[in-house]
Amino acid sequence: MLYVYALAEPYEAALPARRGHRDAPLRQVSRDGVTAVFSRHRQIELPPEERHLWRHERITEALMADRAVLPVRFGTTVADEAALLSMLTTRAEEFRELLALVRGRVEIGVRALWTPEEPQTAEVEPAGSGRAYLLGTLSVRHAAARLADTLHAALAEHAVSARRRVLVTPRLLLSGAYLVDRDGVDRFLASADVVAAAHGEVELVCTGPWPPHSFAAGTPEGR
Amino acid sequence: MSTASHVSYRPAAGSRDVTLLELLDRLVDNGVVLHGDITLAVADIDLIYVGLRAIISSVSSLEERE
Repeated sequence: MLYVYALAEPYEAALPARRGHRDAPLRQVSRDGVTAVFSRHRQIELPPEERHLWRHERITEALMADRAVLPVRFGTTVADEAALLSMLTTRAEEFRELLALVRGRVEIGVRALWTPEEPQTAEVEPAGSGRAYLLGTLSVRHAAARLADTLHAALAEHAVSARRRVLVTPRLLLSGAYLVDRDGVDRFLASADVVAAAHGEVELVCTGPWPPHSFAAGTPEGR
Repeated sequence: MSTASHVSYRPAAGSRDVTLLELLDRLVDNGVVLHGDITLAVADIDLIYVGLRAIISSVSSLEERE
């Protein structure tokens, strides 16, 4: 059984001097311009615990130091090399396009936190009615969606590509991922600072630079 | 213009709690999906949602301390 960490562009240098899960050596196979990096196990089923998550992440980051990388979802295993190679062949074009998109770029995560207002009871409805409450809730959601759109658009302007989720939880207004040039991180953060200054009602928290996790699946804008 | 930053930026290498939750969110919900087996059990999915709630509380408590 193979545990797959990442897809990468083929590269002449050796794999990073890191061990895979359970200290298994890292291996690679390449087909049609795409390399898969994996480790071999008799059987492997990993819970999403801190040490396993970081190992997956650090391997991806080490690869990213000298080649374009598409992180693979945590916990992905395939039966054997033949199965892996057949997947690479089938989807080579998709993977090559994504690798070209992320080459030389990193992902910055931005979370916008806000405190939603209590839903206002619509004036034409008797106070306390269920319908009034629902209408109020709806208008809060609409206001939230508009604000999230504004923030996302302002941030995405400074990124090569962008992804977002809106209202994952009531306080998490926007969870965005922004793909920026490796040497453009400071510029992006300065822009995020300007956006935050213009929107005192939200609090922005940026994290990164990350490998391009959110841009590895080719999901369309605004999934 | 004020020199105070309106954005808090936590590099992936620091702020362990926040980045761990960010990491969890990225690794289990993003990345290339091969047609292989994903080994996450159903019980672990709850953990992810717990994580998303936790990031909100940890971020706000960090802000209060600063």
